[in-house]
Amino acid sequence: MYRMADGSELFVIDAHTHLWDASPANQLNQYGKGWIDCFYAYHKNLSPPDRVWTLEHYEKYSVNDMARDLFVDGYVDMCILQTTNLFDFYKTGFNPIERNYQLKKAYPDRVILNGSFDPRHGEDGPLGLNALRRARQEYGIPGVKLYTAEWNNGSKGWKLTDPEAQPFFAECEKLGITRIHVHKGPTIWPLNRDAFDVADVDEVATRYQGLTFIVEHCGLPRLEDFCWIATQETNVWGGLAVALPFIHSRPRYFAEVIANLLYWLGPDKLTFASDYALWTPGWLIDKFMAFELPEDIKAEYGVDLTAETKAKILGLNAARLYGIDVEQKAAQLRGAPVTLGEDDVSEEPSRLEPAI
Amino acid sequence: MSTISSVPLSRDQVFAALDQVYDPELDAPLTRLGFIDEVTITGGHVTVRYTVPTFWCAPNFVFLMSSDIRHEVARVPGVAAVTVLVRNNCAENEINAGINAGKSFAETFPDDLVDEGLEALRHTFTLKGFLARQDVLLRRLRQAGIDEATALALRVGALTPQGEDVRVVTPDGTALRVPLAAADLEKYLHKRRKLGLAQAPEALLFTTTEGQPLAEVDLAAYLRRSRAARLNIAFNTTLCEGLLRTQFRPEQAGCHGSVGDALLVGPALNGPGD
Repeated sequence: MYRMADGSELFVIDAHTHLWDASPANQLNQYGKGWIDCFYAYHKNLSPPDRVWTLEHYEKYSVNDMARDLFVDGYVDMCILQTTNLFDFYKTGFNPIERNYQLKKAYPDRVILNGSFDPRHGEDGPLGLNALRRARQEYGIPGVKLYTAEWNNGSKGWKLTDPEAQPFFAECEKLGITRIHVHKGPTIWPLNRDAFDVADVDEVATRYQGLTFIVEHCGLPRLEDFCWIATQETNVWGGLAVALPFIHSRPRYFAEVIANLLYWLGPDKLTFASDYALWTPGWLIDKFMAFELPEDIKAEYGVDLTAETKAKILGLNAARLYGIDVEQKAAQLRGAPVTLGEDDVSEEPSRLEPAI
Repeated sequence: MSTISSVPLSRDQVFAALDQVYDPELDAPLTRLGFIDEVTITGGHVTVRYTVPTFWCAPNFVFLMSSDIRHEVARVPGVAAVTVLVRNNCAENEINAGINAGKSFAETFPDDLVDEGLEALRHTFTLKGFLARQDVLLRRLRQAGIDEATALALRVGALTPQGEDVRVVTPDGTALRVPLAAADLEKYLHKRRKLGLAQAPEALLFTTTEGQPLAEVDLAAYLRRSRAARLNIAFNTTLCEGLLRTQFRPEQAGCHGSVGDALLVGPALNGPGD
């Protein structure tokens, strides 16, 4: 809960989080190292200096670290765990569903666990159609995260429009796995096309009206193409990861981006996301709640970031999408304060890099 | 002694050549983005080392930049050979080997393409850059008090750079000074050239990428899309510069100034209400 100055409380859902292991012991090759080094650059570039972790901690953190950063220090009532596999880069994957499940097991009332699929795995592969059915059965996954730039045995990416992907979407509709989070990374095949193209989202959103497509980091680095698609398609939403941390060091950029999103998508299809552990939710939410759109931007775009809109973005939109009764949930959580497990390392000073 | 090696090789000229190499997505020269690490000149042999901001920068763009460096530097008088070495990219080995063996993109990545080469991709981003640059220039004119109808009627010849400013003569003969717009005008005209759009003094200055006068389109809708394209480039620019500095330019830690800032031009201060 985020408590406002007037004492009222806002329900917070962090819609894009991970429990990953990118430690050197788990890295399979230079790409595993390249992946986490790149993430760390994002973290270090956009976090306030006193919120920057050490690389070692960033590579691998515990269930307790995550619970503390989200549920104790980060105002987060519930988080959505997104699965990113990267089996070609990490021996046991980056944050496959089995790893994410550790947090779900420890905090079942606070965690929504999503799965994933990969159409290149066919029927029986570890991320194939049968695995999707099993994940629905075993974990009750209400959604999936799809990372289309994932390498797989020589293939350097896929598109949502690939014929092989269609049975997966149909199965998702059938099983009630209706929240499809799409993470556009640099798809490296075919190499002569735009690696971040979001056009395939448009096509499947039209085709599968029973599914909602939440495009993470609002299509960045293709914001303008994403806005256009999300305006046409009522079932295309935007997640605010990557854009949000600009609020600290580049607030004018954040103001322009959020004004654009509010203009094109309106206030009802945007979700708060820290992309944990890319960034931590506590400081993002503090800055977001204190933020006001500059007057000239309000005037130009004809939009405002009101308290009501902030409440929607912070939690009410995701709650609606995931069918969560906010009042009931808030009451339940109020009666069950978060306790951290025994391997709590919150006092360990080496977590944060000394501020420069 | 050959004619080539007898020409003294100028370091300034090599850097001037590098100023012509743009990141196709960020629409800015590599020299200004801080990508260039080192230029060494040994006799007629120039070696350019540069860094891209992330390991996952799209290899097609990286190939274009390496290829453009090779091409531009090779044109400098006195240059007999060029070596281009990029670092911090998932495909750097393939790109460095391909470029320095004089191979094309298709020859470097024979199994990874469909249909055409890279020019279609480059064109897509030239179109985006055009919209962004045009939007900046229109905003500068508006800020100087030139209303929309007047701006849309301007011919190329009505604008003349004067130092950092631009002198504008409106169709009714009024002369105005638009502060700090010279660079923006030059960048917009550069994009018009790339797209083969009319540059003659009597040509209409503001057209679509297809050459249709802006006065004939749904301007509000058109400008909303231009604005989003402009913001996207600005955002990606400041992000990429930040990622580069964080990892490879420790002396610039905490510096948030960006080439992208020049694209964040506010709306009209006193323009017609809209």
